[in-house]
Amino acid sequence: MLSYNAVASPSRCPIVSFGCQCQSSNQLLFSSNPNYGLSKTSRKLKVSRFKARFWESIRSGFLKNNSTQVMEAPPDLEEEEEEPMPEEFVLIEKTQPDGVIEQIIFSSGGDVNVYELQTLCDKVGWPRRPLSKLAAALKNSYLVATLHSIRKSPGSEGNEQRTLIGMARATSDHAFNATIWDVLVDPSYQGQGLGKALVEKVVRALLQKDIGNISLFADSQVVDFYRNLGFEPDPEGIKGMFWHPKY
Amino acid sequence: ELESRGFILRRTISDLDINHLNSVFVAVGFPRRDPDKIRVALENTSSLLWIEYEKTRRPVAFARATGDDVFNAIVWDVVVDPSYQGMGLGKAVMERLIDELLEKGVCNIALYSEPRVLGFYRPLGFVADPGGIRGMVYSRKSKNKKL
Repeated sequence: MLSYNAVASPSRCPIVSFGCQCQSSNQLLFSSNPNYGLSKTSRKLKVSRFKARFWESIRSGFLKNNSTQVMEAPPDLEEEEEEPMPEEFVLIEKTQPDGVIEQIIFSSGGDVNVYELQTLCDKVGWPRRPLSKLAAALKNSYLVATLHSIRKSPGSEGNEQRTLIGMARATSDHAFNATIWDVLVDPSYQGQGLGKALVEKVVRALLQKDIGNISLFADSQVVDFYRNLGFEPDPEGIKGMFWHPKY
Repeated sequence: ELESRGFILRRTISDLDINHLNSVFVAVGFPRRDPDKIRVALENTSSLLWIEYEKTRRPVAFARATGDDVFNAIVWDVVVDPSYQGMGLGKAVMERLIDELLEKGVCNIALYSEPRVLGFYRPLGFVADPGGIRGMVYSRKSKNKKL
């Protein structure tokens, strides 16, 4: 499938289940002050002014339900490149009417359960690929970014439901070029700006690693999606070419 | 066939002088890049091929491909020293690089081609924008415009 390009980092960790690293900050996250409720890993983050339009759209969608907090917004462009991005942080946190708290967590740590990934690929309708190949592809990727949904019932004493709901990866030569492959978001979580957040964070992570050339291949129907994220098709007439493509 | 003409095919960077390679890059119009960074890039490139000219012991053609070694590969830095162009050396490195990638099981081999060399890649089996797919590159200038 030549859908999206995603960037992935060569993860040296074995492919294991995503382990929750938020338990220590349970208390903080339930605070009523949005700025106070930051997990240990996102201590460095400032909740800065919402400048990017897509963050506005996420926020306005949640204004009806004021128990939703958008935990983090990308800083200004200049800050983007100075402030180191934490490996893992909460993107969105919301409280459902039944009291269940759901967090969407971004992580660039690269720990992906390959069975969960296969399930996600099934959900978006991608053709099946052998698990061993999926695992190898992830291992050989420079950056693997994930979105997980974490649902906690009130009073359930840390019992939580973790689901992989998005992924993007990039391959790279660690110096000049990176190419983003396999950008996917669970269909039931689409339309909320999570795909944009995922790609935006991947780009930021790559820029912070000093990779100057970030590229991808986009199906025609998602060219505008990537344009809005700062990607330009055929810059200076340069064309993407494929060897004997199945088209 | 190559060997009989004095051209040696190489698949590792062990005998490659990065500064000589950099000169070839510059000779074809690439910006001069930091040799240490080039070394990092080559060390993190899973497939590469170069042709050494026996008499001068210098690289005269080069191509490399990055990727996940399973599904996708992108070819970068395809160059032939201008003094050795037109002899089939570019075709030679590309064909062998593709073979190496196919042997690894990689079926998706892509590259970004400047408009003036589309005609070099087409006979090798490359198709531009198949099915409407577009190559896209991130540009900080574009990002600024959006905001």
